[in-house]
Order: sequence, then structure tokens, then C-alpha cells
Amino acid sequence: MLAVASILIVRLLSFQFYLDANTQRILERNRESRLYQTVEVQPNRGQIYDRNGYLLATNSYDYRVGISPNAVVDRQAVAAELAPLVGMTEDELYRALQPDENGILPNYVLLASRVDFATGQKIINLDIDGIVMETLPKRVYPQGALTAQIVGLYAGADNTRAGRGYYGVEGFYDALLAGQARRMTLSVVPVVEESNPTYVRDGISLELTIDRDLQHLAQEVLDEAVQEHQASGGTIIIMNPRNGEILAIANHPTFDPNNLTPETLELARNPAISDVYEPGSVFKVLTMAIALDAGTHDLNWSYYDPGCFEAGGVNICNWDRRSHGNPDFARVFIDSLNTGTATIFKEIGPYTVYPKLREFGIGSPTGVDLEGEASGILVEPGDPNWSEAQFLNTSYGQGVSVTPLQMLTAVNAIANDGLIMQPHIVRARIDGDEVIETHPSASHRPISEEAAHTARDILVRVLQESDEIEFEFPGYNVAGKTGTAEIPTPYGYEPFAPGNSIASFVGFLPADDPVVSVLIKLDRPYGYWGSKTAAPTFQKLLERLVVLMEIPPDATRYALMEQGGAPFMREYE
Amino acid sequence: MQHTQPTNIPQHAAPPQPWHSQRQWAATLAVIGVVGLIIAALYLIQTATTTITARELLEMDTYRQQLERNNELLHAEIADLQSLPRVMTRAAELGFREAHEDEIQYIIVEGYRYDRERITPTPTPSPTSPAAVYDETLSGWLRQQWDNLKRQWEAWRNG
Repeated sequence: MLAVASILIVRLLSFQFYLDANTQRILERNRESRLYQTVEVQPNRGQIYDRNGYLLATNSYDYRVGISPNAVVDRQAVAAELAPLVGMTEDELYRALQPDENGILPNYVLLASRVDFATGQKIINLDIDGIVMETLPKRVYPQGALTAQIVGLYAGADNTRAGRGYYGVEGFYDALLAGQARRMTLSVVPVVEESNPTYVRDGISLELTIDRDLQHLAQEVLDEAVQEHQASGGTIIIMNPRNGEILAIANHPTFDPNNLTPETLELARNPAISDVYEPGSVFKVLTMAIALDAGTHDLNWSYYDPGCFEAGGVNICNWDRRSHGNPDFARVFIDSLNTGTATIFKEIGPYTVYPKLREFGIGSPTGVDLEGEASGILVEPGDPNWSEAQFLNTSYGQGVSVTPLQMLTAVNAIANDGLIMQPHIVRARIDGDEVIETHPSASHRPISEEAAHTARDILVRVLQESDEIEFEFPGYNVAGKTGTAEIPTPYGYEPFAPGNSIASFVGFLPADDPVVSVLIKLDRPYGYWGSKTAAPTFQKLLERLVVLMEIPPDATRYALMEQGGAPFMREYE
Repeated sequence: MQHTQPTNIPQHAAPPQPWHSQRQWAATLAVIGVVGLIIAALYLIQTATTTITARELLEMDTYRQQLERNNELLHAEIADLQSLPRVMTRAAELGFREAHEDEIQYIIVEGYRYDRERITPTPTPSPTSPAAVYDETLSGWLRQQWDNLKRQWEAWRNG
């Protein structure tokens, strides 16, 4: 007895102290994997709100449902109860709970890879032995398609792994929204303390500058305009030119982020920042501002308009191909004369024009806090593709490509006394109880205050005096400009062909003290001209926008101002 | 011959018994055993308490997660109930409709201060240097090339 005990003790001691290194390493590794498991606790992703606190993106959960058949006592009853909840027939489920051909019961059988939270709760409440429920986080967008291309989307998450945000705010602020996961090594023996603890840090929530009601208005007006003018798509952007806040970005078509398919995913990009287009005559606003700021032109300047002239090997013609006599500087823009803007550019010269266009942000991303922004195309002297003809075409918005946001940001300089404010979409970051607000910041001053005011007054006259623009909005001083850009075909330009243009409008109000600026772009409208399609759309938008934003008519505003009150102020120059 | 007796041995002392030391050993062992048992019992109680607490913590953590999930779901449900199509449908049911611009009447209240927006604080933008003007002469072209090189050098130096 003593001898046997001694042998056993010696053997135990040899296991403890005299094991070869390899075997010892394997055994230790096995011990680690059996006693400890490393898990990653995922943080809650930050939520996204509009400026009035309405939720635009939040978190929800689905469940993955599995079962351990060896823990099930009454298979028939379990199959009958569970089958309708996991989308299986009773017979299928009953067979899944049976032993395999070797008579062995599997440890785990997957019943449903994803069921919604309510169904999952029903299954949990059944209290079935052996059921394994795993939570699967998912992102929910309560406003659906309305803010889809602004907010972006979130994909790729399962119960152990975080996904990531794509496009829009979800993509740009992914690191902030994601938070910090917690990795910990846990003992299966609960008394053993976890090793290397780190802490879960939930994602930061974001409050956007977007106003959901304005967004809805913009989307509704755009959808109606696209239908009315048989356009293939379009964009409306609403901004506050004073501080660079983006109040709404509506696009057509858009997609439902709660119901993603490969087809809808193609619509996830936001055309307002990602797609470039030739802006057409809307770009003349910048031509006007550059000429006034450079001091080469003033309101007394005039020229002889031949209707068409040849320069740089191309024919430059007015939209109506007619001569307008001897128009003055303002008339060039009121009548939208290509010969006039080309003459102005010719007189200023490319080495003054291009640096100014750069200062307006043409050819560079605006730096807006949305993922997927394009920089546009500005061909400058020195580039093999540059030519004098292209330079002159640029004066009326052909041969240059911009994004809709770039165009509106540049025009905002005229609304905001010559100063471009950094466009932005996040108003505040909410980290627990701490709220960090985004302060407006100025990015460039491309033109002087005086030049901006003169340009603004001409833009007011454009809407008041032009016979071609279908726009009437009594009671309010509105500044704006229409644009019609021909879309080149493989066979060159085909002017005036219905559905072969990009019609646009850019404007702001009240002109003397702007609170809102708007860009409208319609792709391939049947009506062709911006003055006949985008301008009336702008009018329809304004009729409802002034009510929603509580912008009083000018007479009322002036009467109120006479009673006193702080004027618009910015604490910088 | 004189017989002498040792003086340092008390006459009344009992002679040492052979089982006396065994009893001392047994008592010591018993004490050690009892102390060991007490320590073991205390350890067991402590371990059991820790284990129960750990389990309770786990359950509470699971419950907390459940509550967080429920909160998130309530958020989503509230957002859905506040969604514009629902609100507009309900408003229409209650007889409301969108006001038109010409139906709005602004009343000028005497003494009302019409305070305009105050943009603050913002950094002062760095003054933009005036755009360089180059003429079409050789010297103009050379100055332009030189300025381009300087810009590229600055860009490279600033990374």
C-alpha cells in the first residue's frame, strides 16, 4: 500500500517538476484556454440627432438563435413552440434536434441567424432549456430615406465585432461614434480577477446642423420638381451663409438605409458633395465678383455685344445668339450674356482669375465634415488641357466642374460680406454630460466687403429685371442667379435639346441681411433652362421656407429694426 | 560510608510519565487541526461569498445591458412615433394644415427688440495675400515659375 502510494506521489512530482519543456508548454496552453477566455465588450455607438434633438441614427438589436439539443428534454414540444418564431417548420426543427447518423447529439445547432428584438424576447420568455441567444447590434435610422445620404450608413457588425460607418457623418466621424471596445481575459472561475482590464468608452453622440423639418421641405419640393420637369435627378442645399451651417441637403434619388440592398447601396454617395458638374451661368456670379474685386470693372463699364464672337479657336455665343447692343456691367449678368463674361475674363487675364477662383474654393474640397467629398476640376495655365478657349468658357461655367456644395459655398461669400465660412454639418459633440459646440470659423476672404455688396445688389436686380426668369416673390428682397449647363454628348454639345442640360439656381434672402442661401440643381429637365425649371422651384421652396424659418417680409423686418435691437455682428473682420 | 542525596530534587515531585509527551503532541496537533479547520472554513465562506458576489455582478451586468438595450429600443420607438409622416398624418386627422406665406400675419409689438445673429467666437482669418498678377512677358512667366517653385517648396517643407 505504502509502495503504491509512493509510486503515485513520485509520478505526480515528476509531472509537476520533471516534465519536458514541450509537453509542459502544451499543457500550459491548454490550461489557459480552458480556464480563461478573452472577450471584447463592444461599446454603444454614438447617436446622431438633428439640430432640434430628433433622432437620425440610433442603435437596436437583433438576436441569433441557437440550441444545444443535448439539453432538450421534450424535443417535440420544443419544436412546436420554437418553429414559428425561427422561421422553420415544426418537422425541420424536430429533425435538427435529433442525433446524427452516429447517434451523437450535436453541441449546438443554429436555428436562425437573425431574428428581430421582439421575436427574440418572445423566445427568451419561453424559457426553453438549451436555448442560446446572442445579441447582434444593428443601426436604425428613424428618419429613413429623408436623411440617408447625409447620415450615411453603418455595416459589418456582429455579436463580437464592431462594424464601421460608411459615407456621410457615419463615415467621417466613425472613430468618434464607435467609442472604445474593452478587451478582457476572463476566468471561467468567477473568483479569479480579470487580467489586463481596459474600459469600455461609449461612442460620442453628434448633433447636426440639419433641421429635419427643412430637410423634409427640401426633399418634398425637389421630388415634386423632378416629377414636374421630368428630370432624372436633382439636389437642393440650404445653408446659413453667416456661419456655414448646412441646414438641409436633399437629393433625388435617395435610398432607405433601414433596408439595404446592393442596388440601393449605389445611392449611398451624397451627390451634393461627391458628384461634379459644369455649373453653367450660375458661375457668372464668381466672374462678377472677381471683376469687381480686381477693380478692373465697375458698374459704368460696357462693351459691344456682337451676339457671337470667335476667340481661342471657338465660337462664344449668347444663349439666344443675339446681339444685345452695348450692355453695361450689370446688364451682362441680368441678361446672362456669355459674350460679356468672356470679354470680362479676357480683360482681367488668367493670372488674376485663377488665384481668385482658388480663393473661392473652386478646384479644392470645401473640407465639409462628410465622407466622400470630391474636389472638382479647375484646369489652370500650365496644364496640358488648358487653352484660352477653356479660360473664356470658364467665365460662364463651362469647362470647369464643381460640386453643388462648392458652388453654394463660393456664392455664400457674396451673401456674407466677402467672407467664406467653413461649411460644416456637426453642431455639437455630446460626450456624456459634456457638450462641445462647433464654433463657426471663416475659411477665406476672396473679395472685399464693398465688392460683395455691389455683387449682391446686381444679383437682386437679376431677379427683378430679367424677363426670362420665372420667379416672383413679392415682399422679400431676394438675390439670385440661374444657370443652364449643356451636357456634352459623345458627338459634342447639342444645344437646347430637351433633357440635355443641368438647370440650376443659386440665391439667398433677405438680400441685405441674409439668413439662408439655397442651391437648386435639376439634372436633365425636359424644360432645359434653369430660368424655367430651377427658378420656379426656388420660388415654391421660398413660399414655404419663409413660414418654416419665420423670416418676416422686408417691410415688417425694417419696422422691427427701427424699434431697436442688436444688428448682425461678428467678432472678427 | 556516608550516603548523600541530591539537594536540588524536590522530594514531592512526581517522576516524569512516559505518555506525557505524547499527550502534548496530540494536543498540539489537535490545536493545529482546529485552527486549520477554522481557516479552511473561513476560506470556504470567503470563497463562496466572492463566488456568489461575482455571479450577482455578472447577473447585474447582464441586466444593465438588457436595460441599455431596452432604452435604445425605446429611443428608436419614440423617434419612430415622432417621425414626420406620422406627425403630419395625425395633424391632418386633427384638422391642421400647412400655413401659406400669404396667410401669415406678423404683428409688430411695441418695444420688441429684433436682435440679429451674433457670430462668436471665431478665429480671425489670416489675411489673404493679394493674388499675384503676371503679365504675358518673359519676365512675367519667369516670376510665375519662380513663385510656383516657392509654393511647392513650402508645401514640401510643411509636409
